[in-house]
Amino acid sequence: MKSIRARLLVISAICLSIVVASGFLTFASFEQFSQLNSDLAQSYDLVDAMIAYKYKSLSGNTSQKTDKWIQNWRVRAKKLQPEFRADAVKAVLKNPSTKNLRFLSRSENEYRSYLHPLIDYFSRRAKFFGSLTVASTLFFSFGLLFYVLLYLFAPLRDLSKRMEEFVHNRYSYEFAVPEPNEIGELQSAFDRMAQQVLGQIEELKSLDKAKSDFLSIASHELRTPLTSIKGSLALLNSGIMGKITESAQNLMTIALDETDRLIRLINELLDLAKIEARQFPLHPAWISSHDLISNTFQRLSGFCQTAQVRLEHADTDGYELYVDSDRIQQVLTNLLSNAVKYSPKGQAVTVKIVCDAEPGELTVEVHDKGRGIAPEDQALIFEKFRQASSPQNPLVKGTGLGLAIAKTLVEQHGGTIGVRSRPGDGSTFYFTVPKWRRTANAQLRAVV
Amino acid sequence: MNILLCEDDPNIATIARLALEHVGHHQVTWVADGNAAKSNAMTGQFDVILLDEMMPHKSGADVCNEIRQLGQPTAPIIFLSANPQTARVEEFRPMTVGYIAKPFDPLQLCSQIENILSSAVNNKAG
Repeated sequence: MKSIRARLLVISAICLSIVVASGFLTFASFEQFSQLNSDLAQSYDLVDAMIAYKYKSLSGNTSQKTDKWIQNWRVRAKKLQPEFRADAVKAVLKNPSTKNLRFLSRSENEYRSYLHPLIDYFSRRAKFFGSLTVASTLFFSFGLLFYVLLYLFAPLRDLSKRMEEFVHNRYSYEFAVPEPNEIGELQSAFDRMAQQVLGQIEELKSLDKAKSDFLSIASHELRTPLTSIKGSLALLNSGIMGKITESAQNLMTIALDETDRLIRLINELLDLAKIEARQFPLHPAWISSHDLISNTFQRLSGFCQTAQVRLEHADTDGYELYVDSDRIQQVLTNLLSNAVKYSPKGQAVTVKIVCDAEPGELTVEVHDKGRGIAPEDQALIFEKFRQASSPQNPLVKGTGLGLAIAKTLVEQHGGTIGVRSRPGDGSTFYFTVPKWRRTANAQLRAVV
Repeated sequence: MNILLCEDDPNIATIARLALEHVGHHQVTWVADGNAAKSNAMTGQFDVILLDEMMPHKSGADVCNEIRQLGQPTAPIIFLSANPQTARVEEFRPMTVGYIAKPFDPLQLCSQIENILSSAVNNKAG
């Protein structure tokens, strides 16, 4: 019998039987004790009643009531045990003489001397069985409690601990032979679930690896031919291979522009795929805000020249940011190139750093004087393949992925990204950096 | 400069050679597989080595690793990679002075190489 439930039932049945039996014996003993005490009291009452009867007779006080009383006692006397008591009472009722009263008194004394040891005995028996009932109840209660703690709660606690370890130790798990009882069944069920989870994790790992391998191959296979195409066009267009006609050069320029656009699309698609596949690990380090902004401005200088839009910065010196410099530069590049695309010619796009807009937070803002964004579009523009159209501006040939990538990268750093804009009033794109410090004091202000 | 170009794709190699020779007026030696890349790099006659990440027989990362393990000093190595953020390339980044991502602009190739080399010299001096 290894089942915990069966053992508990058997133990409970045994305990209950013993407690009920001892309780019954206690009750029975107490009943007897009460009965004997009642008989004792009755014996005293009997003698008193007979003495009272004698004095009534002597005073000649007889009435109908007295006759009824005598009749009643005659009936009661018949029930008295032992018989000598009944005879003694009958004798007094017939003739309430002193002699008969003395006989009655002696009989009752004899009867009471018989009763006293019995009363004592049953009193002790009631106490014994009462104590036995209480002791057995306590003993079996603690015994059951001990059994439940040892054979139920302890294994459950162990199983719970193993489940916690399974989750916290990155799903490593040591399988143990389960006990042949209900706890063992629970453990077996958990073991089966753990095996399934581990199997699925292995499957996910191999899927992840397959995805990673695919992205790596796709990246190489897409970028390699583009290198040749872009390279050939650039060399031909530059005139290094010989002079070409103006119309040929125009065609080369078109081909180069579209190649660059294709390269940007492929880069952003692959970046987004990697970010979503969690294959873009960050390598954060302290970088100066001045270097970040000046490197980004340098990268965009050609693009800004073509667009005839100036890049400016304000309040951007004196900070160090704990970020992956390549990724944050990508974010800033995306925001700035968007701002330049949507800015009228001759205008400026400004980068500003604001700290303590909310306590402990550092925000990088990009202001433009473009046409602004309608409120209903402001949430949508951070989604993939969404962009505001601008038929007037030929530079607006984006992929619709730049802001989605920027959002993902900012959120990977623990920051937030957003836009404040009113149609006709330009836009301010911003992102926050949780960990930063001022270079003057080099005080670390990390916001978790 | 005397440049060792290790690139298995003949089209990219042609473009890179044209850019380096015609724009930068450098002398270029081209090899197309990992083993030739390693043996040429060990000769010590080059000023800079452009090493493609994926090549036949031996990858660029393996060539880099074997050269460094031998402990012989070689010219600075610049990776050419279509996928510079892979864990494998990141692992060997400390053994190189920088990387040039593909697709690259051939007209900017020489200036990119010069920038990487001068940054490396500045970092070493710093």
